[in-house]
Amino acid sequence: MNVRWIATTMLALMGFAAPAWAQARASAAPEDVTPAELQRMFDGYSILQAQESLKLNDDQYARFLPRFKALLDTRRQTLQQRTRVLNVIRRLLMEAQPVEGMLRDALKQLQEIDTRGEADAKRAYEGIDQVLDLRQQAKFRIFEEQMERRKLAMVTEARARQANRLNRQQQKP
Amino acid sequence: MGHLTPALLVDLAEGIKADQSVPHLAQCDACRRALAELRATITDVAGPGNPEHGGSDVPEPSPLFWDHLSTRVREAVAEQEGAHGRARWFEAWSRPLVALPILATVTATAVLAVVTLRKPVVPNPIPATPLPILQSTLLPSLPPLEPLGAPDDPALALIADYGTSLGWDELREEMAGVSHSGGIDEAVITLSTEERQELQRLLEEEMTQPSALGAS
Repeated sequence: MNVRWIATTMLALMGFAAPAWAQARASAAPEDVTPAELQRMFDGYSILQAQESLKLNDDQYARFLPRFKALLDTRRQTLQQRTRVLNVIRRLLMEAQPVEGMLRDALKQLQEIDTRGEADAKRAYEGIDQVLDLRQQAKFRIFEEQMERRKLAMVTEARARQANRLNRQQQKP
Repeated sequence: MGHLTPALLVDLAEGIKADQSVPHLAQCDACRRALAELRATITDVAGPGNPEHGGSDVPEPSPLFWDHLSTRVREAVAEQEGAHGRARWFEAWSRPLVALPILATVTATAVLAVVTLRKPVVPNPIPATPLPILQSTLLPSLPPLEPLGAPDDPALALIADYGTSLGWDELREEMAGVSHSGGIDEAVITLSTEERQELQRLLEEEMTQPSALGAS
């Protein structure tokens, strides 16, 4: 069975931006895209890249996909919860007399989120490692780091392109 | 004065020196006899046959003769020197002035060794905790870390971009989102609508192309 076909099917089932979808939209005029959509596209991009980088066979890829998705979801969920609590703390600190009890509760909540997040991520990694051989496990750690850099480069590039476009528009009479 | 030396006799026999220049000849029968014999020998060897070569009829030896003679002489000299060397070595070591101090030194060393070996050996106490030097040598050497701020580091480009377009407060707020794992998601949130559209285009381009990371 073709790995690309598995990927496309599974990504579509999971609600990711699949290559087919991406190709279909490439020629269309870009519409407003929400951060959530972009995050899903990033996830889909990571999953597609993982197959090539880790050289997963069909069986591995089918099992790897949901586990990798679980890791990405866990991370995102933890990050969202953490951001929410941090915003609460920020608001509390902006008050002249922050309520100590509320601050203490927020800090405790933050600690719990961190602890739970680490435990969930560890479980997700264990699930992924069960599918991969030792070499692939090692490659996966490197791959994740490379993906973060790649995403960062894309965000930077997007900002630069938009800045250039604005400059060109301003220079036009 | 002693008898004439062979060299002086030869000089006299060959006429290089005159007999009158050596007064000893007139007083010494032995020297006169030796000079007469030498002159007779020279006359016999020269003879009348070949006046160009001193009158000698003796034929020239084979050219190989001189090589053989040279080799034999060299061997004889070497053998003689070897025998003399061995004899000199033995003589030198057997002299009492050399042998006695050596004998005394050997005896003293032997006595010292016996005394030392009979002393009970106290083992060095083993420290309760392992020495730090041992721990550090057991550690595997780690590969060198990737240098910070490589020219192609996208993080630097992002910081530079922020630095030129944002104030300090904005920069701090923006960078807070990318300083930890998953920070890209937060960075995406901070993008403008146009920047998000740009990012979407970039992602679509990437997803339709072969792996940008390659098989690592």
